[in-house]
Amino acid sequence: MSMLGVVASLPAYERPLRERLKDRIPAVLLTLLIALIVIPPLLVLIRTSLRDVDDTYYTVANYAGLFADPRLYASAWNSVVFAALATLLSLVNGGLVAWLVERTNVPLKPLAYLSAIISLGTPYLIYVSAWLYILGRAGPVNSLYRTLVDPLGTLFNVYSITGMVLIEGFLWSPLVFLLMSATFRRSNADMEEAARIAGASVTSTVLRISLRLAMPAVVGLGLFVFIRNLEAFDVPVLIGTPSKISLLTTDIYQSMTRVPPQMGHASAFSIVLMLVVAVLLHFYGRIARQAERFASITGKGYRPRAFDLGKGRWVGAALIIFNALLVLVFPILAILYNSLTPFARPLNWTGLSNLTLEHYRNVFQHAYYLDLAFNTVLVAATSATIAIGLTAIGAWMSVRQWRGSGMIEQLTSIPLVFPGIVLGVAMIEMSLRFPLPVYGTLWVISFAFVVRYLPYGMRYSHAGVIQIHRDLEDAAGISGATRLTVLRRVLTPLISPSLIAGWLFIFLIGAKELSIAVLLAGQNSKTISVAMFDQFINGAGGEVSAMGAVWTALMTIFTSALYVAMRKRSDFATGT
Amino acid sequence: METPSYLSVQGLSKIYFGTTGGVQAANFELPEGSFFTLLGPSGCGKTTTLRCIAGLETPTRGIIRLGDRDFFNSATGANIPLNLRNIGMVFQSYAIWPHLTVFENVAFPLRVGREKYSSADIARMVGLALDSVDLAGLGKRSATQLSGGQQQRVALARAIVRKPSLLLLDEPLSNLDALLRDDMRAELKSLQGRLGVTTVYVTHDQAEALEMSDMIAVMRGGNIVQLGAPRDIYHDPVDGFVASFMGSSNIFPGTAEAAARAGAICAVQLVNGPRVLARARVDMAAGQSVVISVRPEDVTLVERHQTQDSQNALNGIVRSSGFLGPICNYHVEVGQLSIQARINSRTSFDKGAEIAAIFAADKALALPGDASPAS
Repeated sequence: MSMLGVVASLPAYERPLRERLKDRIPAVLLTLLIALIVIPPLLVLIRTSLRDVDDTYYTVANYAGLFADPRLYASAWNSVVFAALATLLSLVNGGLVAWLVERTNVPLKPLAYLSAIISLGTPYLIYVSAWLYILGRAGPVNSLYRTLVDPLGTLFNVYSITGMVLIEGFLWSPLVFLLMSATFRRSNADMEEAARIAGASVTSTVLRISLRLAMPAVVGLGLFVFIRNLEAFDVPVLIGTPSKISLLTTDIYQSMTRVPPQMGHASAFSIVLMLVVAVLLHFYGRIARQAERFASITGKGYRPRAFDLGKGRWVGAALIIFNALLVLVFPILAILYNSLTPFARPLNWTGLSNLTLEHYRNVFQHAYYLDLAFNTVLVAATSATIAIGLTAIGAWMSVRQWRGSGMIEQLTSIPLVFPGIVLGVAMIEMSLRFPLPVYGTLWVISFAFVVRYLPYGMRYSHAGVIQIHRDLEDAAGISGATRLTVLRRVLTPLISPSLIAGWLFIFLIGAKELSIAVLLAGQNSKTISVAMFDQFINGAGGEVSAMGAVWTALMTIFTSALYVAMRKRSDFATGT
Repeated sequence: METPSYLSVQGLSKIYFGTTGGVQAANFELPEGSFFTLLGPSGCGKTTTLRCIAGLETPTRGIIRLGDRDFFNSATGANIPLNLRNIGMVFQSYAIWPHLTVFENVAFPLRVGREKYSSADIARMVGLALDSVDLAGLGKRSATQLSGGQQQRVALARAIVRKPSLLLLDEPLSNLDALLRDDMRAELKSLQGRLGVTTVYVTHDQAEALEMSDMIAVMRGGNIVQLGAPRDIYHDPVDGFVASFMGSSNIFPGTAEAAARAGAICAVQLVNGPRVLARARVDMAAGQSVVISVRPEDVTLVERHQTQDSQNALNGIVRSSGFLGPICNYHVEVGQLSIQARINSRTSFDKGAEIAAIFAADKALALPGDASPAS
């Protein structure tokens, strides 16, 4: 054929420079924007940690001082013990309930979900103060002990590392429950049934097959919870500080709140904590990938067959009830009781016969509280909207492999290494240097929340985009739609369930976030959790409880919405 | 060329680095209104070719021209973005948007394109498109409530609603069940005829390609190995691959005994088998390796004493038989070869029967080279 001559001489196509630029610009712009959000906190921390007190020259004195101080090692030891034991407690408690609910015929399953979900929206501080009351000197546990056993003794001192572990363990149980039940729900019942048919008893099936299959997921989750517990701030500051038990996060907080604040010391401390977290996260990533391979997902409409526990189901039910009492009923009752008594006092007949709505009246009458609620909702909603908006577009670009989008996913995962308190320190330093007077405003808090929640937003957005068949977008392009039209009229409506769920999730955790907000809040930019923290420190326990009860009710409504939106999605919990 | 070319694809290649997929070189010219099929096994490059024409992939080099418009030309650097090509396309997955109604799915190209339409125009055009695929009155349905066959019709209506200059169909029938597929084949072909739209169809199903196409390109390993009308490709395959892909199951390697001109009868010694007479498809030299292709329906089985007039009579033993209703499928062992024969089921042979397989010399094609079967 004569045409072959022409054909052979055709040059390879080279996209014109203008088009190549036009192709890259959107993704590059977004990459730069995300980099501008997540990189500066890191740089500022590193720089401050290497400056002397007066910010005149570079030095490693901050690190030297940090490592020379024996208190560092004491705090580190306390942090590790606290995090490890609390993780173990929540894993055993939450994991067991999750297995019962997902894989057996235990009764009362809805109760387990209900308790987990209500507790998701409850500020940690409310939980902690409830448990402090229950287990405290004047609380029902110890007064029962005094009545029955020893009128002068104390059964349990909550202001101890044991108390901290118990309370942190209870705090995390609901989330562990949700995460583990997602894992159990996805596991393949065929493998268990195959073991049963091969002659294994229920017990040996669970031990040899179910547990082995779930092991990578359990270890991964354990590491994840351990990291979060290491970064925990609420329990350490509320219980550890009054009882003179120092942990890494509270040490950082104290060096920031001292007068004058020791920025260099806190920054060096933060960098060290961040490195530890980064190393742990690296291992977590590897285990999580391993777990992915073990997760045996089968076709749709599939429901694993439940184990028949026989009479044992009532033991299981008792466990679910006990768990519900622990994570839901006792704390709520304690909050309600404290919010209705005029001053903190033991739970007895005098107390019960003398209740008042005074605290609620205070909460509802003061414009101050309305401002707080408004601030909180504003900050949480703004940061959720920005984080989800950025990550939705980022996930779209990186899943569809736009030119120039290679860095987007890595960049959005950087903030995972910032413990909340560390991010707070970085933000203070940044806002002090910023040319505009932003220090102590809601802007800074919102910005910090955006940084912190970008990784969470990415998980939801990414999961959403990846489910959308590419053809659905291509078909729109062929139909004549520009990329912007594809985004607006096809992709966004299709992934909106994921986006809404992600938005609600970020909104909820933002609304109860304490560790960042407590460092950044100015006089007029407090959020609910900061105000509750202040009131708690000032000893106004009644008002804290009333405020907490109202807020928990509000957030429970939001959480229920989240749960309904996510009901069919198994990645609900993995979004944390 | 007898008819002016409408869609012209020249020297198209799309190389994916580090993989064996993609297109090496595709050339074809289609007159306006023709139904053209890219046929081949998976991974042969047919879908990549289609996606290059659509603008979903950017070719490495080549020219794609529709009418007098260069969609793509690596010599001039022309590359029209997909949304400005005015193409209709039906995807294998249908790609029906689940958040839109049937009406809105079909109206989408009218709403988002460069040309603006009034809502009355949109209603009228969508109505016409839905009518032509027999979905009149279903516009208000949500797209997710439709059956697979109906979704397919919606995808088709969406592809034709704008009166596209080119219609691309990517294995549109492969997700339908067998009965529905046969109906849709005929319907699709008649719709294409009514609209007169030039159509490029991708499939791995040779029966589909034969029934619907004006012209077929058989692809393999990123190249078009044969381009022609369905009859030519079926009866006159260029090599063993095309022959076997078009349903010939008796493909045997051998050596030409003497030189022969194209079209002449020549003798071929089969590897590990007997000597047969066959028609040379191209000029052949003595000693050249060839493959012989005989369609199973061209092979007849007879008792061994009835072979007097046959040009090719191979003595063998019936190894298995499969009753398919009107016909019966036999596997006959001839030495070390296994020959397939498809004969009228009123005649029957037992397993183990000693018979002869006969076929005329001009029904056996001697093709050059390559004997590897189609995957």
